Amino acid sequence: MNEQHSLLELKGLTKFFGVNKVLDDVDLVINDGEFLTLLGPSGCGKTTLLRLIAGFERPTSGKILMNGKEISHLPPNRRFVNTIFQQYALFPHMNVFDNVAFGLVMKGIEDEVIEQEVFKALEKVKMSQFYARFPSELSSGQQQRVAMARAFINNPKILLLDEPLSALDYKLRQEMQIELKELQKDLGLTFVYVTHDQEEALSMSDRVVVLNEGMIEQVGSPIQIYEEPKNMFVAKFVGEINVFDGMVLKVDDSNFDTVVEGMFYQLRKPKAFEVSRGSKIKVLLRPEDMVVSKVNSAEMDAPENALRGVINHLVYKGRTIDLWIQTAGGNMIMATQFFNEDDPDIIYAVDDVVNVSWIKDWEVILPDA
Amino acid sequence: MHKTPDSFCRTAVLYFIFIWLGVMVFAPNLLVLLASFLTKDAEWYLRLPLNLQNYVALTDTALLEIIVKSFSLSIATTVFCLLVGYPFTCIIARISKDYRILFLMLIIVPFWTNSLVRNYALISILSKDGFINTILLKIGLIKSPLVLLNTNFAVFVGMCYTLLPFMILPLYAVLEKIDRSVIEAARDLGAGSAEVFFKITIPLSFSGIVAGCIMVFLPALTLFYVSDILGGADISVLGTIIRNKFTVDKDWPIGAAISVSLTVFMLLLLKLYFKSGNTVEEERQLW
Repeated sequence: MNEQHSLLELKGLTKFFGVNKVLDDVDLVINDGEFLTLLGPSGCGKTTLLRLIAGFERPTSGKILMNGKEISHLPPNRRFVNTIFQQYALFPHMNVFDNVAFGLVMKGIEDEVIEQEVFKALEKVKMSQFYARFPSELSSGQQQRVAMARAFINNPKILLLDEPLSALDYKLRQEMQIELKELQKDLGLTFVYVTHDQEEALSMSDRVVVLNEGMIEQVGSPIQIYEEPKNMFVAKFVGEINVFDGMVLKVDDSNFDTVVEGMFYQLRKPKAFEVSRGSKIKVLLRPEDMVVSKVNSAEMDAPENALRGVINHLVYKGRTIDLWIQTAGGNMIMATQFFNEDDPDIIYAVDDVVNVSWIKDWEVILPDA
Repeated sequence: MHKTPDSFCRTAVLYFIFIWLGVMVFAPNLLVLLASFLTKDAEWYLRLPLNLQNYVALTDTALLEIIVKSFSLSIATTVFCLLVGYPFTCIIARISKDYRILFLMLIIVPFWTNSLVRNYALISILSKDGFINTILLKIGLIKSPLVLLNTNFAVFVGMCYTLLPFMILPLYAVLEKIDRSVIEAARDLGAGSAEVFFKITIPLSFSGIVAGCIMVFLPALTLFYVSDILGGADISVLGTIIRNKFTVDKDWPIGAAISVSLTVFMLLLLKLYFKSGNTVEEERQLW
C-alpha cells in the first residue's frame, strides 16, 4: 500500500433511533486506498455506520470529516462517496447501460463521453455484452457486477459496500471475493465493506473493525484480529477458539505461573495488561494451535503440560480433521489436526483417549472480566 | 368419475357464477348492442329494420357539445385527482405504518357511506347559505353570497370528492412497493429530490398512474347523479344523456348507441392500461 494518509475521519459518532443507541461514540480513521471491513453480528451498528458515511442518516452527535472538511451535514448526492447496496438496488425500469450511466447523466456529462465511460466500466466487470438487458433479465451475480460498475464509474473517493455478496451462493461468493479485491487494487479505491461473515472479512481486508453493540471492539489487520484478539468478544466472534479459566499463582519478570484444569503451566506475561498474583485469567487457544497425541495403553499419566481427554466427536474435512475432545476437567476442546503422511497417529476414532497440549507461546491471555 | 362433495360444491359455485355473468352481464350487453342497430318505436320501444342511423345520430352537434363538455369535466377531474392524489399518496407510502393505516382509513371509511348521500351533503356546503358562503361572509371577503351550487364548479367538486379514492388506492398499491434502496441509490449517484421524483418515482409508479386515471376518468363521464344533485337541470354528463334517452325520450336505439360507443372507448382505455401494466410487471420481476 502507498503511504498512509487519512481520507475519512469519524469523530465521536453517536446515533440514536428513538431511544435505541445504535452507535456509541465511534472514533475511526479510514486511510486512502485501503480495504476496510466493518465486521460484527447483526444489530451491531455496522450498517448504520455505513449509512452515516453515505449520508442516508445524520449522526445524533459527532462529526464526519473527509480530507479534514466536515461532511456530516451534506446530502448523499453531494458527497464523493458511492454505495453498493445489499440487494443491488438497480433501477428496474432502466437497462444496464442506463443504470451504469445514471451517475454521469446526473453530473451533466456529454453523451459521447458517457458512452465511452459506461462501456469502459462494463468492460471492467465483464458485462459489456449485456448493456441492453434489464435488471430482471440478469442473474444475481450479473446484477452485482452492474451495481459495482454503476458505483465506481463516478470515481468516488470511497466505495461503500453493504454486505454485497450475501445474496450469492457459496461458490459465486468465493469468486466475487477475489474479483472485488482485484477490482479494488485495480481502481486504487478506498473500500469500506460491511459484513457479518468473518471469513470474508479476514480474506479480503487490509484492516478489520470489529463492532459490537454500537462500539468498536478492535481495529487491526486480519492477522492481529485473529491472532491477538483484544477481548473475549473479538476472540469468540472471529473464528473458533478454546477458552480455559486460569488462576495466577506466581509472577516474575517475563513469565507467570498458572493452573489450568488442575495442571501447572508457566506462560509468558501478556503485554496488554498486568497480571497479579491471585487474579483470574482466560487462556485462549485456536483449534489449529492444539497438539493432540494418542495415549498408549502402557502410558499411565499425562505428560507434563498436557491435558487428558476423550474424543467426543470428529469431522473429517479432507485436508484436516476437526476433533472435539472432552477433558477430565469438563471442558470441550476443539482441535484441528493437519494430516501428516508419516504420522500413524492421525487416524482417530470416537472414544479414543488423547493428550492435548498446545504450541508454546501461541496462547492469548485475557483478564477474566 | 367419482366426485367428492367438495368438488361438487366447487363445480356448483362455478356454474352459478357463469350463469350469473351470462344472465346479468353478457345478455344485457348483447341486448344493448342489438338495440343500437334497431329503430325507435313509440309503443314497443324497438322495432326492425336494422340500421346504422343511430350511430350517425351521434354526430348531432347538440349531442357532440355535451360529449365535449363531459369529456372536459372528466379530464379536469382526472388531472385534479392526480395532482392532489399523487403527492398525498407519496406521503402516506413513506410515513410510519401506524399513521399510514390511519390515513388510508380516513380515505376508505367515507366510502362506506353511499356516495349519493355524500353528494347531498355537499349541497349544504356549497349552497347560498351554506358553509363556504357563511364563512366568506363572516370574514368579510365577499359582500353577497357566491353562486356555487348548480354550476360546473359544483359538479367538478362533487366528481373530485367522489372519485379521489379511486386515484389514491391504485397509486398507493404501486408507490408502497417501490424499494427504498432504489431511491437511496439514485440519491447516492447524485440525483437531487426533483431528479429522483421524475426519473425514478414517476416511472416506477406509471402503471398506478394509468390505473388511477382510468378509474377516475371513466366514472366521471357517467356519474349522472352527481351532475343531477349538484349541477341542476342545465349541466349534463354523458351518463345523464344516456339515462334521459332511455327513461325520458324513450329513444332506446340512440341511448344504446351512445352506451355501446362509450363501452368500446372504455375497452380501448383498459387495453392501454393492461399494456402499460404488463411492461412494468416485466421490469418488476426482479422485486
